Amino acid sequence: MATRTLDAHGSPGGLNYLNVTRGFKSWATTLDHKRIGIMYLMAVSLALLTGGVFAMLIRTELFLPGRTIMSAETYNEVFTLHGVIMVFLFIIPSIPAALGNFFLPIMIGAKDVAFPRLNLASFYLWVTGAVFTVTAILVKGVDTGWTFYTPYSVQSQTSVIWMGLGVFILGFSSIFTGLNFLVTLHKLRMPGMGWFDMPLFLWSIYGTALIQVLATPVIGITMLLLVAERVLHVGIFDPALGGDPVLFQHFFWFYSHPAVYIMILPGMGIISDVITTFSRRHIFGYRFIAFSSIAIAVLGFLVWGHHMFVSGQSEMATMIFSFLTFFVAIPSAIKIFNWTATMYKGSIALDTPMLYALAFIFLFSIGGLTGIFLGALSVDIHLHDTYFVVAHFHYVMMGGTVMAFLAGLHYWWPKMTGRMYPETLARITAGIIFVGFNVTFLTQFVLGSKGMPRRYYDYLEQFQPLHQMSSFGAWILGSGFLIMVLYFLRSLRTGAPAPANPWGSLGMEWRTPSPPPLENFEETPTLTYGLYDYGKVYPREAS
Amino acid sequence: MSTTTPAERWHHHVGHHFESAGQEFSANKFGFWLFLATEILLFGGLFVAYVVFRNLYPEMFHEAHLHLNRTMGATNTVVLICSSLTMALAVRSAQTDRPKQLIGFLVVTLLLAGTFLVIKYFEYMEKIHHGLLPGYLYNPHGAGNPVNGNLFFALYFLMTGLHALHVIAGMSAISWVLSKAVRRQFSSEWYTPVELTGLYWHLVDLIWIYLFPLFYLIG
Amino acid sequence: MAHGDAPGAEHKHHVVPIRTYLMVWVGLIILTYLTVRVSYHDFGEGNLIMAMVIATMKASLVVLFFMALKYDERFNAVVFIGSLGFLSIFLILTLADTMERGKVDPLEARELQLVPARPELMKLAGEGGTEAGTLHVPGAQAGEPAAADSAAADSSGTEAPAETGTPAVPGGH
Repeated sequence: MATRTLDAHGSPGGLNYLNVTRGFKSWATTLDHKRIGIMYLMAVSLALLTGGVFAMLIRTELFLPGRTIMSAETYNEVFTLHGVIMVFLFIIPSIPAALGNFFLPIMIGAKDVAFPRLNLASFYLWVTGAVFTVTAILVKGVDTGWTFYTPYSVQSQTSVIWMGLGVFILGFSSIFTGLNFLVTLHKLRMPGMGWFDMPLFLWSIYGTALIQVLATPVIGITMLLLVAERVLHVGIFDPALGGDPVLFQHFFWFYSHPAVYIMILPGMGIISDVITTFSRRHIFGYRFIAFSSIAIAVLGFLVWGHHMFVSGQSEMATMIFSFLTFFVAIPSAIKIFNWTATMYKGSIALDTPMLYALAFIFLFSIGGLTGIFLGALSVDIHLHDTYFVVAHFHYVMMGGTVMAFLAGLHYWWPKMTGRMYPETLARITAGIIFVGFNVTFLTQFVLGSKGMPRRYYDYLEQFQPLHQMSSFGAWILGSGFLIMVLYFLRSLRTGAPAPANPWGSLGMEWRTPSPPPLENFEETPTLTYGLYDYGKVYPREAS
Repeated sequence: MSTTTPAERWHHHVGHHFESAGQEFSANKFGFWLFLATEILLFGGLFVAYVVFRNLYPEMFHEAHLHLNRTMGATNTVVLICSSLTMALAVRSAQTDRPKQLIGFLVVTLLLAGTFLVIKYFEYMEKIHHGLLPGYLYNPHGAGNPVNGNLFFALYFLMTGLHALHVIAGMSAISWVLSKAVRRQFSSEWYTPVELTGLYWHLVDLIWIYLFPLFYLIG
Repeated sequence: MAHGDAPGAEHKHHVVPIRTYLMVWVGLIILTYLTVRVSYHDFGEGNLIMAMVIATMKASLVVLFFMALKYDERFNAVVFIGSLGFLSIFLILTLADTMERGKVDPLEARELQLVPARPELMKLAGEGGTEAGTLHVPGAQAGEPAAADSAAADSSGTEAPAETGTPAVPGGH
């Protein structure tokens, strides 16, 4: 194939947001939401791969009981860093900051987000937070777990302060992104696009942004208090000085529980848009899905104590939190039912984005249900701090969010880059990842219910076969990701040029060339039909 | 109205992604209220810690607070209230095209804010003198040393300290706005930075309105 | 609520009259004086309530008039009140824990049957465990609080629940 440059396919003059200006400075000082989205995409992908390397180290160490490749102290640092990098540097920013930034303005027919300079500032705050995190790793590491529980986080002789400040800074990156998105959605929708004309991805971004703005400041003050405790020994979390270590957990989880909804909501939004496109069907229950995004955001603030059932929390609080936890499942379940109903009698195309979306539905259902098991107070007494919890959250975060992220990445790759990725190879890779994921984490449900505690460096002989199976799965999973990185990178050079609408979708973003021009649209399209009106057959353009 | 000729008048450019100046102003204000919400939750966390510990140690809180200087606290409250008035009047001056008045009120606001910090400085000095410092520096000399008193002073310094940082940030913002006001960049057509700085300043006042009774007036 | 879509839907910039500002200022000064005066009398719990009521009145004046929320787009008020709402959730549920520590349902404070631990785990935990069978909680009768629930789940059994009826020190375990 002759070498192709990244010229827009069908865009007059061949100019698009990627080539309209060139050079490092034009990217470093860009105010274009699309470029900022791409920079975020590269940044969070780097974080995903780094966190993934730490994961491979963990699973390799756990292949055998006792020391395998590292000491116990190093192991504590490795799982802490895996958690911190994955949670704060990858999963929280990933979909909103990378895909949301790129597509939100396009989907509402706007030229940019409300505050483009704040957007760039958010990105540089992420970079600064990442620098603090790397500094923490290089200075003395951190071994407290990503949850930084007191009293150990106050006593640990590692770089907790660097890490705490890094999290504080990353928090503001997230806050400003959420703030920007809320204002954009309220004020910059094109004429004719009411709230209920928006794609469902944007409803989920709205719910996410609500949480980002309201919850994140509390992790901010939590980190400041932790730093004050370490530096000044103020005593707020120290019983010897009259304080309460469990209070730290309240502060921490008031943010970190809603944070998991920051993680999953945008993914759910992607699923709504992918399922409809690849089923050629109108979404079942638009308003239910829209409102459920808001319901998840609000209800998510009421349940944080379910992380603290065995911490010494009062009985009254544990009962309240357990009771409320059951409610938060309802809006998620509504979405699952509606997506399934959407597919019924649809014309299903099993392209890679759809494969990941289907994987999401299956895996997130498992993850979500096991969350309810854990929310049941009596059951949690036995399962708390075991591998059951680890399996649960990997099912929702990886089986959920990461699968949705990959669905979105494949779905929108042609739009963002102007290139098609290799479809057959991508499907095979999806299969590898699906198998690898389940082998790794299904075994961990069993491990956990048999009593294997989490964060343990060593374990009893009887747990070895399951650990080995889990590690084996991890290597399969890692290989899948490696292949994916390679084919995505290669597609940038030699992928087939993408048409404006390779999937035959009705979304706004498909009515502009791939890649889009700087101002998003040559002329702003008008809404002549609903974004999910697949009633008429929409011919799929050959790619 | 300003007496500058049209050629000299500074003109604000509305962002290319906004339809109108009105939409931009509306978006800016909405965004800023969202930011204020985050500040409320940031400080709110400290208020939660305060309530938790006051509930646990009510007598200790009362006893410890007797070390605080009520007169200075009350004076500071009045100072901030006055500065809120002058800030609001500054915004009004911009809205009604009175650039000299705008500058005047901004300057007075800055002076009042400075006064607040000076009084705070004397307060903190007094605490240091009596060894009433946060954390491991807590070493009270003199009468009235309740058990766990360190917690009261930890919260006192954390909360009034964070508040003072916000006063300093507010003063920076007001100074920046002042520099633009001197260059006649504000008018009824565009005065957004004045408006937003005003909102921030009032929030600083709001937080103190609660800090004052909670620390200085414990029954 | 402004959509972006009504051209010319410029929000009128409401100019608050100077008189309003001055009256608000006077009100704030008076309320400050009041709250200081009240604090010199002992009303017990009432002191805190009155202080908070007065503070909220002052805050309302600042928010409504100085921050012009009374004249502003309504959604901005929703944002402000909303943030206070979520802060209340944080406060109330945290207090549901810290104020209720150490209180156990009296129905549980009675004789409990221990499930015999598995022999291999008992060996790991070492000797000194209680015998499988009934766990007698000294002094526990229906209606008396006891730290019985954690002891039941503790297979090492090294903590004999000797302290009953003592309020738990904050910090749990």
